[in-house]
Amino acid sequence: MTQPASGSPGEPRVPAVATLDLPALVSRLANGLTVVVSEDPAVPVFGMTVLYRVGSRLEPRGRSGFAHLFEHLMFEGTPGAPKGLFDRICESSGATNNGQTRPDATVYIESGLSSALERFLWLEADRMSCLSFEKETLDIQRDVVKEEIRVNVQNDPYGLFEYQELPALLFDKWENAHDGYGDFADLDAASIEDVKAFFQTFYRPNNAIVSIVSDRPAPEVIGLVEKYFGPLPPGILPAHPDISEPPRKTGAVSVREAPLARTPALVAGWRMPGPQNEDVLPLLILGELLHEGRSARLYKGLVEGRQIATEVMGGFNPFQGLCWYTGTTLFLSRIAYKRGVSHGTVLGAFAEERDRLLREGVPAAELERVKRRLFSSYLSLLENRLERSLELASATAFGGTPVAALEFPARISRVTSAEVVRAAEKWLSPETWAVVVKEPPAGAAEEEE
Amino acid sequence: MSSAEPSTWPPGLPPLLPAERPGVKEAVHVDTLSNGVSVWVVRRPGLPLVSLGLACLGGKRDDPHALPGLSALLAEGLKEGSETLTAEALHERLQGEGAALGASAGADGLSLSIHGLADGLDTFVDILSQLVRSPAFPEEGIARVRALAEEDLATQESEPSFLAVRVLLRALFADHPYATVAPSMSTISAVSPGVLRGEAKRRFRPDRTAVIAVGDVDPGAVLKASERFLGGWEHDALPETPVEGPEVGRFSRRILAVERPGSVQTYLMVGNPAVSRNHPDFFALSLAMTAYGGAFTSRLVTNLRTQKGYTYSPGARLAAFRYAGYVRTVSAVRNEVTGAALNEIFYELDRMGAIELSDEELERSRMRDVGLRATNLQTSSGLFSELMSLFSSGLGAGKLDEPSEKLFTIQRDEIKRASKRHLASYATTVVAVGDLGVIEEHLAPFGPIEVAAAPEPGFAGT
Repeated sequence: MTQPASGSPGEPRVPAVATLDLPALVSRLANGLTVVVSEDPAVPVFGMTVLYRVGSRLEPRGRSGFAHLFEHLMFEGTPGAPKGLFDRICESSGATNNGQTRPDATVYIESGLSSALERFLWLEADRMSCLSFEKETLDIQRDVVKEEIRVNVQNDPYGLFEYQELPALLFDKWENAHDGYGDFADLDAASIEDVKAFFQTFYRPNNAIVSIVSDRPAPEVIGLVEKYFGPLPPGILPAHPDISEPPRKTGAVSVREAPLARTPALVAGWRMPGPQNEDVLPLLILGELLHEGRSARLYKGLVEGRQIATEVMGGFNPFQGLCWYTGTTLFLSRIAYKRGVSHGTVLGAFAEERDRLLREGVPAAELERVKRRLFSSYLSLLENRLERSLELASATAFGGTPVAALEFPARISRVTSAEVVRAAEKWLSPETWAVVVKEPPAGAAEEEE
Repeated sequence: MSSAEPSTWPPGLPPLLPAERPGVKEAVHVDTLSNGVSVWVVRRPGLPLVSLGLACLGGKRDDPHALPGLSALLAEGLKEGSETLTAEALHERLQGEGAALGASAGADGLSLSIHGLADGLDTFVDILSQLVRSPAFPEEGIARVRALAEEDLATQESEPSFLAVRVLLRALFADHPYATVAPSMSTISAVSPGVLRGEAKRRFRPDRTAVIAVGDVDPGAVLKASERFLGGWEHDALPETPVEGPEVGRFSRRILAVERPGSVQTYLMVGNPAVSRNHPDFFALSLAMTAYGGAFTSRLVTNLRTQKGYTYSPGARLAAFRYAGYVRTVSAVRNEVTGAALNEIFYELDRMGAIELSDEELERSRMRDVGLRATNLQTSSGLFSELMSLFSSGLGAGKLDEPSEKLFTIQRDEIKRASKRHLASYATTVVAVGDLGVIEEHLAPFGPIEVAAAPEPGFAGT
């Protein structure tokens, strides 16, 4: 299906240089809805994504957390399919569903037996048409969202700090800096009128992409999408604000006590350029090269070599994947480290690893291995039909075409060592980072023997 | 496949298309090498990927009594290379094939797995065979494994889910190795290259090992590579030491509380001993758990989340090992509804044994499980995990389609009977992790509260 170049043993092998040979038809309905269909006969399973181009960055001021609260309400009934039916129909049909609110998009995803595909088109078109807008439902989901925040943030030892606290320190613009889960006062202030206005503004076919991977013939699937979504009226979309931000001029390190933690951790983040910037692909490779697996630079340098850290993770655009975003995103490095080690030591070690990379470059063999691993991980992702539908939808929303996803391996294969080094020099400086440190209360951090 | 659909459903909702009963259509190629190594392969043409692993019988259950959790450290230790391949060289070779090595210890088996590009097949089998036949356990690498395990234990002890499951399994399985969740501090301190070398020799044997591969690979090529790298593996034929399952007597309700000051939620874990993977009730109880708390539209989730808004992610499941099993309900709830939530959990548990599922519930639960299974098995890695787990449970590759078949034959009375036997609220062990000063009054009405000791027996920390 792909053309990984082969070579004799010992020769460096480039990852696939060709565009992935996966079918992806794209069409646009008269009301502006974009439809992406990938036909794959291997198994009778479908994956489907409905992506709306609105996420937590565009929620109204004074209503932090609203895009996510709204996402919950999309499952709570319509005039045509009252509360409770969406999930019951879904599970009765051999499928599972979920929703996810990201900074630049909200996605609704379903996967299951393809005998049920047509009814999911009906259900998704039905809730794009109208919701129930009930006060009682809003109140219950407000409680559920608060429990979600308690379990994932307030009761978590680190409080999801890379997602919750880092952006506030790193960015200046409200869209980028505010808490996408929302504070409780803002959640309490949300009204049914807010729900209606948000729906009517953003949940329109011309702001959406429907992406389907299934064994059913592509023309038939496009016909079904037309049948159910075609009658929906388009909306007038507001202009997208400029949310780009230039790199910080100074570094910032904020040390905070984490009362529920027993071991320390820190996250360093940097502002990133827009998705069209020439450094984006080198930055993606850099994320993998620094963080992924036992051969990653930070693992070898901090966990194995200096033996100060216990776990490293991170990379470019971690919350939305590849280069699917608008304006700006972040690059982050999350490092869990040993009790008794200071955060200054950890940050110093990070800076040393970066210096070494700038000084010595990236050997061709290492770059090659990292690219092979990226290629393989991407193929694994696309093997899952739901993930493939989501990837094709994201590529269409943020790259203009599903081909942007299929070309990714070929584009990665062309990135040079010099470009990776340049990206690290330009964008990952300790002089422009924002760092949040989470330390256990004094006493809990002592080495126990 | 679908029976009549509920009359309350929206007019205009398109019908389900007739579908053949889904299952795994591809054949599992099964072979055995002359030394007893099993080889199971499913060819999946398409994307040039393979999931390949070694499933080795002997997990936590085989851990020496004095070293609970040793398997997990053995698995980690294997990642440190072989006698002829340093850890650095090993991981770089895998990275060059687009792959990474996973090693984990389950209740009944230890698994090594590699997910990578299909043309790395020979490399993968070579590396895995070296790790079980001649692991290095280098002094420095094992010291690091030990140090990381200590930090990892401290980190895990800050998580309510870890604290809860550790107390629950200890209460259900007492001093049987199934009760161990993670290596204790004393096990971590005792691990040395010598200990691991002895364990590897004792556990890894050709007749207790399977090569399992799923992906864009030729079954003949996998067999050939297995012959080449594992065919010459000889081992003294020690008799397998039988390790019995835990004695499970009659239980009555217990309330175990774990102190976690400053918690804004109570983490509730409610468990009963249940059935092993091979027990006649296994499939009926699995389906019961889906209807009770596994599915999003289950009784428990509808009650606690959809109707009351007490919690974000309640759930329940059956964990079935080779010789024992247990069911557990989990829910993180805000402090002030701790008692109210527990009350609803007991109510729903007992209702499962008292009232049969409706036709609609039964059909919905079946379809949900059938669909979820088809979705999970669509990828090479999903099917691979299923085969690895079958081998560890002592079941043959021929059992792969059994769950799909059973889902359509289990009847409502069997589900009710299994629920009555295994879900009764009077026999539950409740573990509540939270700020005891705040939640004690909410727990008190359910029975005497025993404050569970935080550290494991043998834990050397504070």
